[in-house]
Amino acid sequence: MDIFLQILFSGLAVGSMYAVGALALSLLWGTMGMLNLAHTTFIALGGYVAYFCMSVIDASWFFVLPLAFLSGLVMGYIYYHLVIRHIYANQNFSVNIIIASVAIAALGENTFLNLAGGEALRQPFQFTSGLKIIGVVLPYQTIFTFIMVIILMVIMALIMSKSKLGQVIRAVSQNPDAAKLMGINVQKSFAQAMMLYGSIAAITGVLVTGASQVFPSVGGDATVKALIILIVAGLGNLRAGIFMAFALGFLEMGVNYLFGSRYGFPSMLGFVIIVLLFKPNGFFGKEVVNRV
Amino acid sequence: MPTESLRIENLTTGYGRRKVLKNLSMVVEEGSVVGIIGPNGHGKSTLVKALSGLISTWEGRVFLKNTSIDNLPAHERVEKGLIQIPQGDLIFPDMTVEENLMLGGYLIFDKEELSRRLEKVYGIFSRLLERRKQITRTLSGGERRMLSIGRGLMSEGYMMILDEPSLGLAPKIIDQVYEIIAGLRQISPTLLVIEENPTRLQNIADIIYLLDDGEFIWSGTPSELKKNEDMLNTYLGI
Repeated sequence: MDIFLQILFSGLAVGSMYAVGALALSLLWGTMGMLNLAHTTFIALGGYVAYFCMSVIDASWFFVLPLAFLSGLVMGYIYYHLVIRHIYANQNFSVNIIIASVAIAALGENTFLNLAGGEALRQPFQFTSGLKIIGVVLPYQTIFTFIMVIILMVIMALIMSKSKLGQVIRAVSQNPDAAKLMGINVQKSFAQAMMLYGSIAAITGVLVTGASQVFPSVGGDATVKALIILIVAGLGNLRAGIFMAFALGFLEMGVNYLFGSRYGFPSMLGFVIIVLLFKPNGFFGKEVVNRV
Repeated sequence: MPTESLRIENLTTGYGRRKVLKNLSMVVEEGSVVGIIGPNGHGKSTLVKALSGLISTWEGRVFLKNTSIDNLPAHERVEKGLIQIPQGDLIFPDMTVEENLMLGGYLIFDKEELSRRLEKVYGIFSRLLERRKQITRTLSGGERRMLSIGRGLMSEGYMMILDEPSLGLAPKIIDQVYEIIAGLRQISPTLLVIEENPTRLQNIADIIYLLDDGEFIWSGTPSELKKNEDMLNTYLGI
């Protein structure tokens, strides 16, 4: 029984970590068709903001998430004007942005290295104890991250479906020329989408680093896992992505416990390959039906 | 003297290095319906894109109500009241019919006004009301054209440009579409209608221009056009 609980709890911990990393990435990829590999920079940003806020200027934990939100917002805006604006209008945006965002990720990593040094710092925005259930500990950090995943997911879904901003972002992503003919300023909308992305990504950065430490390349792992999860779940389907994050988390932890920790990640990749062999659009990805 | 809605002076443009439109000039007077006809591949759609700002002007000027608009980006031209009703391909495929229509009223911030206009559009197109929750990629060609026109109506713009409203539609549906276009004049009195052939335009247009190989080679009233059957035969094969 406690082995089952052990797997359940650690699967929940890993799954919510994967889910939180995938949230913001899914927003950009699913709507703008933009695979943003500089996601890692935004995650590190969240981690360093938390460290700066609580360990450098000794402020209360209360300010961490609002500050991460703000700095992500600003960073998204800068990212748009520095990079995206110049390549968006050109052809092959979806390929060019992958290359450009790798460059930005490297730039971000080196900037953090110069500013904060290379060593791993303890990220103070975290819970240390946990809830004990039949001898097995469920960390408060896991509960908190899980709740935050649900909250952020609901907020994102509401923004995209109900708000004018979400409607405009979807319109621009589906047909930029048609959006212009509606009187939509496509450039401004893309900048707003980047600010929305940046703020969510930085908040998730606080959560991702909360379970570990913060160092310049801390977001790399989360970004790779998020990529895998979104591809296997089917692009543009946020709920499926979150579900898949937890499913893969449980799979990985289950295999770890049963066969040893070296088999966890490979078995996850094996699962991904099998899914894509039979469902190339992802597990929950729908085939697009076009009536001509 | 009647006011000029739209004035084009020596408009030249194209794609990459390929020149498509050469020195086009025309005037659309307020309250009039102007038709442009011409064979496929001779610049009709390019003209529409150049007027709405989706491609840039190389040379020449474009004025809307005596204000120059040729340097404005597309969305600012819409703000000035120049509305394009595109062919069926410029819809938002993964949104519902109603979401598409609401985006047509993107520049309207008064919610009551928006729902008043939405009801008006549904009053004209009962088909759209039936399908308001349907994803638009599953609509038929005729329904898409209705959606495109309905979405344009939401803006209640100053002047509308209709890009081949009868293209690819069954004759019965074309009749319906043209009935609606005739009714459009109550909302937006000035219309520029692009078509491949003049059959449908003859009843509603005040002046018709013939566009061939990027140039206007003839213009006149529909009755004058009827007298020039040889010319129509030469250029359009009818």
